[in-house]
Amino acid sequence: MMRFTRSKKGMIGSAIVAAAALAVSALPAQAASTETQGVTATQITLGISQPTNGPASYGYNKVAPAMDAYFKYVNANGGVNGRKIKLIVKNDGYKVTDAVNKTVELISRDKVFALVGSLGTANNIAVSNAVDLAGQGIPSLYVNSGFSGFANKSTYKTMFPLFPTYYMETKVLGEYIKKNFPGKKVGIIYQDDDFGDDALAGLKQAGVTPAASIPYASLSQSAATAATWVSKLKTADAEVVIMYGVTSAAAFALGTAYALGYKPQWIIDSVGGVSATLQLLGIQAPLLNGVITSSFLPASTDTTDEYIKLFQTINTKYNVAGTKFDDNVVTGMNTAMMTVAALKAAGKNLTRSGVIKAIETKGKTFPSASLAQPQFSTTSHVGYNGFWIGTYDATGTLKPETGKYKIYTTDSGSGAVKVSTWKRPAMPAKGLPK
Amino acid sequence: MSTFTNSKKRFAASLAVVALISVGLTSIPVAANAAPVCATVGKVTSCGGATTDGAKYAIQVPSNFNGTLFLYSHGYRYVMDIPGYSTAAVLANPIPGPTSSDYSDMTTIGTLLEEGYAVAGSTFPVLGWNTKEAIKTNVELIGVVKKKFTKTKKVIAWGESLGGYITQALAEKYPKLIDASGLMCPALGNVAAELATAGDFLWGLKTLFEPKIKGRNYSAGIPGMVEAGTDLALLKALADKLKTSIGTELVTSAPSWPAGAPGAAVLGAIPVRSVLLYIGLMAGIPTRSAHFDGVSGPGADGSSTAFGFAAVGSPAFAILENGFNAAGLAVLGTYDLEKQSGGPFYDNTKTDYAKRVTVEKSVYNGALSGSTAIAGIQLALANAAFAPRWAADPLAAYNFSKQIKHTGKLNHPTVALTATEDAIVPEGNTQWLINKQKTAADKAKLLVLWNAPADAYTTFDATGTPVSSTPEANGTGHCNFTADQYLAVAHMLADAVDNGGKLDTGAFRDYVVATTDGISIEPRKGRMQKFYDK
Repeated sequence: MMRFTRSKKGMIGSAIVAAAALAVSALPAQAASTETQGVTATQITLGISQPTNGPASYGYNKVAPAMDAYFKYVNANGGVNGRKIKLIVKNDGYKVTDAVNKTVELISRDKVFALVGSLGTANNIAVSNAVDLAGQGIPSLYVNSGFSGFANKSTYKTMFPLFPTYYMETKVLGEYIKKNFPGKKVGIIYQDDDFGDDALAGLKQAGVTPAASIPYASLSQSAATAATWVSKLKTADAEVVIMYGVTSAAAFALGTAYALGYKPQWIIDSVGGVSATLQLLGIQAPLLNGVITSSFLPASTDTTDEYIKLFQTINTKYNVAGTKFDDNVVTGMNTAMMTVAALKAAGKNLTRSGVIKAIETKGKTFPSASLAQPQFSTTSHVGYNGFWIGTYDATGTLKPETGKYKIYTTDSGSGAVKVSTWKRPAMPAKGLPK
Repeated sequence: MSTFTNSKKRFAASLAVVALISVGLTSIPVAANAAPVCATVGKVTSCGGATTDGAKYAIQVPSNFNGTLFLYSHGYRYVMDIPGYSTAAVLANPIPGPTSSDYSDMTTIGTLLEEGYAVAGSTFPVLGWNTKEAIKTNVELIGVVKKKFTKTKKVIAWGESLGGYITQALAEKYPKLIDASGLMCPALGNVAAELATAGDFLWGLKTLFEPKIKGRNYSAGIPGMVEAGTDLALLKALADKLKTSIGTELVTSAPSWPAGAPGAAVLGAIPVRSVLLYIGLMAGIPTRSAHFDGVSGPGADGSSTAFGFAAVGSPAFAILENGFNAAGLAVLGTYDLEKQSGGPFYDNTKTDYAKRVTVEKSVYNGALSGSTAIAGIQLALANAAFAPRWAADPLAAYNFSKQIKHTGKLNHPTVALTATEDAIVPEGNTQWLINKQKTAADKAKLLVLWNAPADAYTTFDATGTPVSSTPEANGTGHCNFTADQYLAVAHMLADAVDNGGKLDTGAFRDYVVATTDGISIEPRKGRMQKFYDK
């Protein structure tokens, strides 16, 4: 009878070899290789966890395919330092537990080099803690959230938010309201979590005191709850209403208010105010007429913008056939472009710490469609820092307030809101970061 | 020719188990305070006896004994018989290794014997939390085995739950007596961490849902047993009420508090599911349980119904299932250790429950009904008039603090097998041990085999009601391991002791991991127990 010892290993060697092929997906990461996990001589594997189906997927389910389309475009043009990019997309249904599960799969089974574009404040907090991204040195590039806490480099050492923060957004909107709607009673409906709390704090910093402040718990939005919002806003005589929530909540608010004959000046945040997504949720374009929102990317309808023109071309050639070009596609492609810039800047000898260092030291100059400048530095992981404000017309097209983009910049503290003087550099040749 | 493939193990088990079941549980001879009495059936010699402290032991040695003994320490045994919760009398039989919970599956023991290893274990002289007594028994038992079976050269100590605690304590105190340690679903560090989880949860339930729960400060003797038994009955009834409340809330979207719940007066606008979830989170109870995975819901994948249940219903049901499955240990463990300590030792007068959920309030914000609701719960629990805290008796707390603690020092190769969603001994115990290994040399002595459940395992009946009558999902429950998983621990340890005390980090380890369903060695950061959130 044989014992199960090292001396037996030679005898079972063939079994190990045979099993290794079967077991490769379950094999553990080796410490020595974690810096370059997901990188071969010819390929860089990236991963994203986001909802591709379910009630939270509207609009967001276009982001990953758009990223993939841009990566395919880059691959067709030589790749990144000779390597092709492979993007693995996992559907987390926007559920916290699934986001953790899928991220573990991406890292341990699919062996991705980095995460990119992961969606959601709560999900990213959960993943960061449960998977210990910082402890493992795993880059989480350009998370799809404006939660100001993610810019805390000491807590989220390997995470890089891209979007300007929710705090910045309401500071900007607050200043806009004070200037454009002086004396009007303001109401705010906000998601009662880190997302909305950030926004409420920014509005307070801007010196706007709402006459009605209505929180709603994430996942509680419905036509019935929206009716209670409208009732409270009416009671408070709110004339200007900030809707600071996700698109499903914004859709319920707009639709219910319309049905109840309540017509304030709506101002919707950049998350919930995406025309294409609102229309997918049943809000007809004419209902958006006059609604104000903010953005940091050029409007997807702005065909004068060189980035938009390029992205439209890529969308047609490389995205899933029939994908309608909209702001979600622009977001995805811009995130992908920033990713390629980071990977290129990290050099031929690509490592996880190398890409983090590249963003910290060079990220401020990465090419991007954004009209606000990235702020990455060795001391800060803040991404973009500003917004332009626009108004939807009856076709659902967002028009800048003065006919052209005016960027308001600020910070997530007590800094002033200023009109930016930064000019976005010309797009690199063919839209390929150097 | 033999390999350790699953088919081989099953084959080996089928040969050995037939003989071992009868030998292992009913036919081991008993000889109190004397040399072991042995009998050989087939290829296995089985010995029984008792150590000088009166603990019964069982030793089994195969005819092809290779010189390595697996010394097993069993888990916590309740100090009283309460139908449905405790069967102390039955559990007084010595078991020489891990078995299934009903003792019908002796595959692990059978396979080890077939591979040439000896196995031994005892009842320990006392029930309850018994680290000190168990160490003494184990030391004596090792001597008994070595004297009777002089071929014994190596000793691998291993144990489950409290048995893991005992094993680590034994390894720290007597490093020269053993050569390797296996810690399965182990309690580690400080028993106070375990009992704090119990106390926090019981306090929360009493404060917000059922004021009749005593929860601590049990009387001595029979009256105390009656009080503990009454608490268990109250908790069972409360679990049923809360299950109904949560189910109703998921249908109506309106709070549905059980009659008589004190929390209704101040938190009545908040759903019970959110309040229960908060209590579970502040106590450190996992949000995935034996039947609730946090990702599944009734209806079509991607439907609003499925999404809503997964996001807000499943975590609350998981807390309910995990928390109340641990109720037996919470109440009876508290009763036991109060008896040992001379009074109530649990103290939450200085506990900052709000600080404990700093991360969780973000992650589960929607399920907790939002920041405003969370603030309301925190305000209520911080109100001394509404939620009086439990103060320890100073002398009892002092006595309790003298319970054996671990330093975390590893003197030899150690393998931990830990479920990521263990309801009773959370993964934070193992994370504590991981955190104690600071140098590369220390880290090389520890291998953690994480046992995580499948992504999705909740099932629903035709009406969309979650089914909780199916077996517990592997990776949940407590010490809910397969024989293959136990054997993965054993094989890694056996390999290490035969190779200079070094845990394999190459192909052998990878093979064991890859061919054992449900385990991985992915680097992860286990959730620390809330006790450590000072």
